[in-house]
Amino acid sequence: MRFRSGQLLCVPLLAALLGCKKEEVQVYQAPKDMAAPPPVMASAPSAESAPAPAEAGTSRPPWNVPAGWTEKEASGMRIASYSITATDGRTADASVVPLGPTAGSELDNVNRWRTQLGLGSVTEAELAGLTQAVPIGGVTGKLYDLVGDKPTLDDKYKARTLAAVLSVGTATVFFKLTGEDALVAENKPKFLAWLKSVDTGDGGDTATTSAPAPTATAATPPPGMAGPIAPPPSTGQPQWEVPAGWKSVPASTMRIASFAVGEGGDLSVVALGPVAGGNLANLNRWRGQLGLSPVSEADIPTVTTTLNLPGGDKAIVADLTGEGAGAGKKMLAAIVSRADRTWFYKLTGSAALVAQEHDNFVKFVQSVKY
Amino acid sequence: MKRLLAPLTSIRLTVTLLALGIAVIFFGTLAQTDDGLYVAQARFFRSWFSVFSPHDPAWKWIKIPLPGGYLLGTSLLVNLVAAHISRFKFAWKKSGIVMTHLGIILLLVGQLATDMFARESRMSFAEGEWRNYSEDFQKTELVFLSDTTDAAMNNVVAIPDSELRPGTEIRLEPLPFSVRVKEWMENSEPSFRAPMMQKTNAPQASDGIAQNFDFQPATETRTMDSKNIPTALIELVGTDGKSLGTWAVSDWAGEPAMAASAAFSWSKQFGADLAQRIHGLLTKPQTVTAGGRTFTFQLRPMRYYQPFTVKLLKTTHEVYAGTVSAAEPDGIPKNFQSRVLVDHPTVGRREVDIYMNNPLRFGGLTFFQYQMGREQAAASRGTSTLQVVKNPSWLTPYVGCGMVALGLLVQFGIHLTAFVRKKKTA
Repeated sequence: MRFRSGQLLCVPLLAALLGCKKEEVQVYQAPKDMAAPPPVMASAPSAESAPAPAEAGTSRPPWNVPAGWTEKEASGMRIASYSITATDGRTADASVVPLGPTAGSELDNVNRWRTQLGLGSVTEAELAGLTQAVPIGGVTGKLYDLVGDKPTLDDKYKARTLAAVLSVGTATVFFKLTGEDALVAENKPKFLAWLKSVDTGDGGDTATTSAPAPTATAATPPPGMAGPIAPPPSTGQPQWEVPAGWKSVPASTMRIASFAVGEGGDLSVVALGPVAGGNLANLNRWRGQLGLSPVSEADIPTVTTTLNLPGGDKAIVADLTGEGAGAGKKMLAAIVSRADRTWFYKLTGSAALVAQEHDNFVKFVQSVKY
Repeated sequence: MKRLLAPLTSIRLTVTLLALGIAVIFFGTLAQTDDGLYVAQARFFRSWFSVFSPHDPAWKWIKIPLPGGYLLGTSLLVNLVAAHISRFKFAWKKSGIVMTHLGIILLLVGQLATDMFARESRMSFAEGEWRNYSEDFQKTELVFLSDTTDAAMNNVVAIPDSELRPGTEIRLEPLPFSVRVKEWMENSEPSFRAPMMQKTNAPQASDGIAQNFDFQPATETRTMDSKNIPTALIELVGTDGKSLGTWAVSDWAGEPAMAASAAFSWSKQFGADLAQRIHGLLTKPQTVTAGGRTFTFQLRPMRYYQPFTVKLLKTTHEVYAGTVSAAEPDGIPKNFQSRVLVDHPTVGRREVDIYMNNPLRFGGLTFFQYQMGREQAAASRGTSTLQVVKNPSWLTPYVGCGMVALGLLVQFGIHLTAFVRKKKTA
C-alpha cells in the first residue's frame, strides 16, 4: 500500500509537536525603549516631574525647518529626519532622537560618533575639550563638532558630525547633522539656527523646565478606565506663618513641607485626598508609633481636642506622649478635613521640645490660609 | 500486523471518541463560566486528562473524569491512520475517500500544530508611534537591560515568568549575578507606603520600589476582560556569593498601562499631583551594578520582537449615524480602522489599512484590529491595539477542508459515472 509509510510518519510527528512549547531564557539586542510618557492625570509639570520627551513618532516639536532641508519619514528611534543634498550629489542627514534614562553616557555617545567618522576614542578628560555650549530653544545644551581625518565617504570625502545634546530631566534628546564635511560645515549656521528655534516651553534656563515636546502625552488607558477625569484639586501651596526658630527643610515624597524644629524636632505637612484613611486609623497609627494602645471611634473626642480655625474650619488635635518603647517622645498632630483635601500637621520630637513648641504649633496650624 | 491493529481500527472506537469529544466540549464550555476561557481551554482542551467538578460548594463532590483534547485528537488520528493501513487498498475508484481522509488527518494535525505553535499577542500604539515588538496578553518576563557600544541599543536578558518560581536560583552566563526568587505573586495589588508608615512596617525588599510600595497577593483573575498583574520578590547574588540586595519587580511598574491605571485610582484617592509623584516613584527604573556594568531590570509583558517596524499613521472610528446620545455617548460602532506603515529593511515599506475582516498578513504574522481609543491628555490623538497572531499552520484548515470537499466530489463523481454507465448498458 502506497500511503502506509506517509501515514505512519504522522505519529512521531505528533509526538514531536507535543514536546516543544516551553519558553526559554532569551539573550538578544533590542532598540532602547523611549522614555515612558507621564500618566493620564498629568497636571502642570513640576521640577520633580519634568515631562519626558515624546515617544518616537509622536507629534513633532515645533521648530523652524531650515531652507533646503527636505523632510524624510522618521523611522527607527528618530522623531524627525531631514536630508540635505548638494547639486553635485553630496548628502547630509539631520535627525532628532530622544532617549530615556538609559541613553548611555555622553562619553560613550561621543566615542561612537567618533568611531563612525574613523576617529579614535577620547577619554573623559579629553571630552571636556570637545564640548561647546549651544542654545537649544531657551535652554543651554552641549555641542560636538567632529570631523573625520580621512576620506571615508565614497573614498573621496571626509565625513563630519554636528551633534547637540539636550538633557531633560532623566531623558536626553540628540540633534544630529552628519554627512560630507564641506556640506555639513556649510549648513552649520542653519543647524545652529534650527537648534535655537526649538520650542522648549517657557524658555527658562534650567534643564528641568520642559522637553521640546509641545505637550505631555498620556499613556493609553487600559480598557475599562476611559472616561473624563475630574480636574485635579488646587496644587497651590497654602500660605502660613512660620514661627521663629523653625527652619524649612526639603520636603520628601508625600510631604508638602518640612520644618526642622529646635533640637531634633520634625514638623511635617501632608495633604491627602478627601479619603485619607479616616481619623481613627491615622490616630491609632500615631498612637502605635508612640507605644500607646489603640482607641475606638467613640474615644476620639476624649483623646483629642478641637481647634477652631479662621475661615470656619476645625482641626482635630492629638497630643500624644510616648510610653514603653516610645517613652520620652511626644507628638502633636492636627487633622484638618476640607472638601478637597485632608491636611495633616505633625510635630514629633522629644517630650520636652514638643511641649515647649505646643503654642507655636497651634499658632502655625491656625495661620494656614488654604 | 492486522491483528495488532484490530482494536485501533474499530469503528466503535471512532464513535466512542466522537461521543467523548461531545462530552468534553460540553463540560469544557460549562467550566468557562467559572474558570474563564483561558483556564478552561488549558484544563479541558490542551490536556491529556481532566476532571470536571462544579464550583458550587453544594455540588463540588461531583467529579467527572474526562479525556483531554490532546488524548482525543491523538486517538482519533491513530484510529484513522490504523484504519487506513489495515482496511483500505488503494484503487482509483476509492481515491475520493482517501483524499477525504487525508483532509481530515490534515485538519487534526494542523489543529494540533496550531495549538503548539500559534501565539497571540498585542501591539498598542498611538497615532504617529511605531513598534517593532508585540506583547503577550498573559505572560510576563523579567528582563535585565545593559548598554551596548551602540547607544540606541540594549543588551537584553529575558527570563520568562514560568522560570520565576519561589525558591529557584537562576544563574545565567551573560549576568554577573544570579537571581534568587523569594516570592512570586501571580496576581498582586500595590499599596503606597506613606512616609508615616515606613517606620512601623519593614519594607518587603531592601532596595528599589519596595521602599515606597508594598505588594500583596490578590485573587487570581480568570475572566476575559481582566488580567493578572504579577509581582516577584527577588534577591540578586554576586558571583562571590554576596547578596547585592533584594527588590520587588512588578508588572504594575513594568507595564505603562498598568502603572497609569494605578495612578488613575491614586488620583481619585490622593489628588492628581500626589498621584503623579507616586506614579513617578513606582516607575522609577531599578538598577544594580555588578561586574563593572549597570543593569536596569523590570518585570514586563513578554515581548516578541520583529525584524520590521509598524507605525500607526491614522485611526478611523466610525459610528452609525444617529446612534450617539446622552445615554450612549460613544454611539454604536460601525468601523474601526487603522492605517499603518510597515517598514522592513529589505522588503521595503507599504501602507495598509487594517479593519474588521481585513487583517494584515506580513512576516508570518496576522495583524487584526482589536481595540481603539483616544488619548486622555491629547484627545485628538487616536490609539489602536492590534492583535498579532503567529500561526505557522494557518493554511492547514483551508487546505484540509478543500481536500475533504474535493474528495467527496471526486468520490460522488466516480459513483455517479459508474451509475450512469451501468444504467446505459442496462
